[in-house]
Amino acid sequence: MIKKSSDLLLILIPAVTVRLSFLALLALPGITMAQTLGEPDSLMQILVQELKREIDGLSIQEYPPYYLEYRVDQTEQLSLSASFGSLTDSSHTKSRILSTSVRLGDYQLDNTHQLKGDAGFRRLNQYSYGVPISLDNEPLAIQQTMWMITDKAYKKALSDYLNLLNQLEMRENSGQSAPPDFSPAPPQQFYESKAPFPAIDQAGWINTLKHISALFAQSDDYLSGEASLRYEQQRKYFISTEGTQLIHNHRYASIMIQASIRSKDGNLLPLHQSFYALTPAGLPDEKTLAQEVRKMISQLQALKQAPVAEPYTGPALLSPEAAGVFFHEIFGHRIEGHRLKDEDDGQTFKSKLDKPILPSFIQISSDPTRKMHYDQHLIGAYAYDDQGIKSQPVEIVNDGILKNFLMSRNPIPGFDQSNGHGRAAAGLTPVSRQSNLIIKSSKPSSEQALRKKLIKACKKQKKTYGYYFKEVVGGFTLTNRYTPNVFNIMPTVVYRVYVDGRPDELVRGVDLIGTPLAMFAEIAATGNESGIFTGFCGAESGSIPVTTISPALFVEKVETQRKPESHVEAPVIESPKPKTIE
Amino acid sequence: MIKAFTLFFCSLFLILPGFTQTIDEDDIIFAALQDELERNMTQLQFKDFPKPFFMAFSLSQSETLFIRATLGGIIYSRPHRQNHWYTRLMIGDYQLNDENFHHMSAQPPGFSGNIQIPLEADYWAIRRAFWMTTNNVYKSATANYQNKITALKQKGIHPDSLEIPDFSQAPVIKRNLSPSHSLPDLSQLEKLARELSLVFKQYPDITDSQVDIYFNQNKVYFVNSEGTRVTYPVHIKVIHVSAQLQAENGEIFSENIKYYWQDQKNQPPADSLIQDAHRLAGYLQQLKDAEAFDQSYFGPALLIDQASAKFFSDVLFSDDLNLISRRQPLFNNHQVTMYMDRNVNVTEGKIGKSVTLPAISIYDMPGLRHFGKTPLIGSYQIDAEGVVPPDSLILVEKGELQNLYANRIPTEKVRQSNGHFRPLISHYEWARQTGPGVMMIRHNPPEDSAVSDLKALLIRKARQQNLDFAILIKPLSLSGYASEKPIGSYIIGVDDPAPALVRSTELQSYAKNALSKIGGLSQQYYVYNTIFAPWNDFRVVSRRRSGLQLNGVAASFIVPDQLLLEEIELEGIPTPISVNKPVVPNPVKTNP
Repeated sequence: MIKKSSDLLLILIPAVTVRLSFLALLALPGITMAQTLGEPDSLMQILVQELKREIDGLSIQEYPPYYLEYRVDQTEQLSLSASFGSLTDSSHTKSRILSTSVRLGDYQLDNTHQLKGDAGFRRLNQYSYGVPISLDNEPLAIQQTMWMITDKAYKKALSDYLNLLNQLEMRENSGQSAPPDFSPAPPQQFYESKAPFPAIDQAGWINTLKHISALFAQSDDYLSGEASLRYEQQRKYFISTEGTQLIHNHRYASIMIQASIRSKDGNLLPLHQSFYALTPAGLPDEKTLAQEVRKMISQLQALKQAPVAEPYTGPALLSPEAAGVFFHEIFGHRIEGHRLKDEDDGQTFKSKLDKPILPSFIQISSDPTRKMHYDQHLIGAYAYDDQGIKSQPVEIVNDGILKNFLMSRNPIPGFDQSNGHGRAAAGLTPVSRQSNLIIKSSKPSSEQALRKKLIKACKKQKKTYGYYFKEVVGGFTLTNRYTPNVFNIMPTVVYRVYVDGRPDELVRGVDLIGTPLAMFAEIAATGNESGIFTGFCGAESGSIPVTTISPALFVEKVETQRKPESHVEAPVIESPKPKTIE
Repeated sequence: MIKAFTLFFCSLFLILPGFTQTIDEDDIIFAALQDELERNMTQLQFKDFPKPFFMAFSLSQSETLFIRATLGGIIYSRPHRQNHWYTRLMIGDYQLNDENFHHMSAQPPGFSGNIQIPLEADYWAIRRAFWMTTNNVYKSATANYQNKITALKQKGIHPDSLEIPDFSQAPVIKRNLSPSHSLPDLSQLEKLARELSLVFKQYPDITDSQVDIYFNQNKVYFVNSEGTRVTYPVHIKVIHVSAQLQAENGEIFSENIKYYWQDQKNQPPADSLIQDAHRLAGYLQQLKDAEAFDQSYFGPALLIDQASAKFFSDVLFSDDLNLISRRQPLFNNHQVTMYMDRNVNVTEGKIGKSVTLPAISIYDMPGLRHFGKTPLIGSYQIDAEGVVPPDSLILVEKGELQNLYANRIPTEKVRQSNGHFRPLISHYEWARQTGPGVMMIRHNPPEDSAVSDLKALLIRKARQQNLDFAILIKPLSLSGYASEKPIGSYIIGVDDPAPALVRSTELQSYAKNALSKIGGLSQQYYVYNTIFAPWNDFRVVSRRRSGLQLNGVAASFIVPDQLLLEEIELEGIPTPISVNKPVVPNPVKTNP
């Protein structure tokens, strides 16, 4: 059945017998795969041809693979940067990164199996890196690289598999009772039309970046003042012996503005601002960006004068953006399914399924199919994940009760299928990752009501003030068992909210820290307006684009710690300045 | 005078931006460097600490182009523009300053933090970048100077008793040596990379092949507080062709050809490159079929062409004899002491003494641009400290060591720079290192002792040592040159002078006194152009094909094209324990 939309040609083959072997599949008449796509794509034809050749050769081995896949991430990127009013980088690059996965054994027990006791070593051993391939669709150039990495991957898989079989023989538990190592998937075919790289007014953008970054050059206080534009367009290819063949696109444009100022005591105070759109045409114009920079300048000047916050424990408000990072770090990473199979991981939610983990008014879902939030593009959206699984919305928390995990094709007890969250940066091995994490509340409160709750809680806890975390730059969390299972969110703009009605006071030098379960218990209310935090999440499968949509949060008790100190001395002589600007 | 011009220019730039296009880019950059240098020289003083006594600013406009292709397909094609800059600032005076001192917590001079330099000739932005960097360098230099004075006191050394100055004087130079170059058309180079890489499609036994084209073009602006103001080019163009093949026993071996040139007119023609690529593939096929060398050899050897050049470039920059002068710094830490003691250059003590045969003299002639018709990539006119090198630097005269390559940091016996502080050709950084330019090994034997047939002499010497055969090391003879570590050698039977190729040979390090083990040299010369890096050459022999990696100075060695060594040590490389051949055949075999 062929269905055409404005720019997509979608072909879905009904799920046939899922456990159909690849040999049978390739033998089916008509499954010379590239020919079934709506438009001929030369690269896909080459991938198909070599996949078949490799399988023909490998299937006659004593230990033939039961699964083989190839992934190609084709990326074209334009990058422009300016610092203090001057162009510092201008590049336009193209790359194609090929990666493969070869599996020996069967879905239940294969060469990637983790045995108790050697999880750490074997987990590290599983990760592989991609290799660059020809940008031209020159068949032999691409096929020879495919051949080389397949040979290497097959030999490693064979060695791992034989070693595994030996290990299992030595153990009482054969490993067969463990969850399967890989989940089967119905064959999918999807073809998205090629999108030409858009015409971008580079000269215009360079001027804009120079103009807006020049605003930081007006004071010697600024240690950095940069603005950059990035436009990245990806075309992702996926093909496997299960019969899946996918070609889909992903793109985003961003403006990043970054500046830092020296405080009186020599600390470095950074501020960041970013804007995302589908293409550069959707990004803010120079006038808007300049306004944002001027706001940043005011904010930085205020931060320079702001007092350093002391470590604190007590009530706090988190803006929607800060709450987004909060949920991404303390919640999102702990519902990534593969971690629950990893002996080294803290597995915070392993036994919490169908149990309350958050206040009953909170719903959380992960929805990579969602492309927009009002007028904003969500860069965490994708059509298919990096394991060839169609993206789908997943309800994670319903009325505060944990209902699901983000699943890749690495099954865990009770979850034997992927829900399309196997993601990776180009060339890396996919694991379950976040996409668009959406937090909703069934009991929203106005901003005014949240402030009232904050002040009331402060009074109750005998605090003269609470904290309002307004802007954050990012965060990190540790989920393994060998270090404290903590998170750290790095705010850049934080206010003290006084109970006696004084105006809010900007403070600096503070990080929001804590442990996940203790923090969840303290969430008391949410706001009635949602905000988006867009970023790139780094984990074992590389850096991937994600978004979090969240309302503001009122938390009964948070803990903060001092930021690491930096020591930047004032320059001995003032900066060189044109007299006319002075 | 410059100051007055600069201020005039500034007003123009700010009020009438359109006029900037008519102002020469060199003038803008020099004005920015000069004005900021002068401002810092006169104003930079923290508390009561001394002002700088010397400063140098260097800005390098760099354009690179990197193309990689395999079997007719482009893998990378990346033009890139980047500017590098460097600030050198000294506290103290020529006799005693903050340099030549190791202190564990010291920042190296030239540290620039995260400061970015503009890509364009933007007067104020360049000044701003140098202002911030100079401020950092000044602070670190001041701290180093104070620590050095303290260290001297702790060691009971009076500063006036120091015999060797920390920095040498140099004449003021004003020159503009930058020819205007532009990078060639990208599509033409991509076409060449495709064509050249397609050669290996005809060789199904080649398991991997690659063509890299790398152009690196820098225009360096240099000013110092002594009044030197120069621009000079640093540019190199490279084609690197590599291929890999696996023998029946599973052994993988690779070979590569490198071509270096500077002026576009010297780019090797496509048909010659293609011919060489075919010869490379043919040579690998020959090696595959050649007998593996499975023994140890200790005896005479004849080194031909590049093998001869590689011998000299190895032994003249080794631990035992190193023609690069090296100042032993003052230090105040036990661990540093241990390290530095191991890094003292003992060669300086050999100045005035014999280090090789009396028939051998060694010179460096950086002004020489060609030898015969061969262009010399080591040729240059000004070094990275703005010092003009002499036309001919005599390093070894009739076997006796006379001098060492030196920069402006004096050593006990080499007190003045001879203009050999060279900019590095590097993927990674903008750095400088003392090193050779155009080195010539001249052989002037007495007429009655000249040997015309070194091959016959080789066989004679093998017979004298009761050997069945002798070794001849002769890399591929191409218009470029093959890898620096020969993977194949030739056996010459004492009774059968026809050379037979053997594979899997590994040449061990040369003997300690290898220069005195020279048994004969030809009087014909071979030119070896290379990116030379004795300071990071760990003599690692890689049997696997790797991509182009550059990190060294552009140098040329003119050497006798045949070198007979009395003894070398050659080992056979052990055959792999298991045959790890590909499971599925190479697609080039199945889809020719």
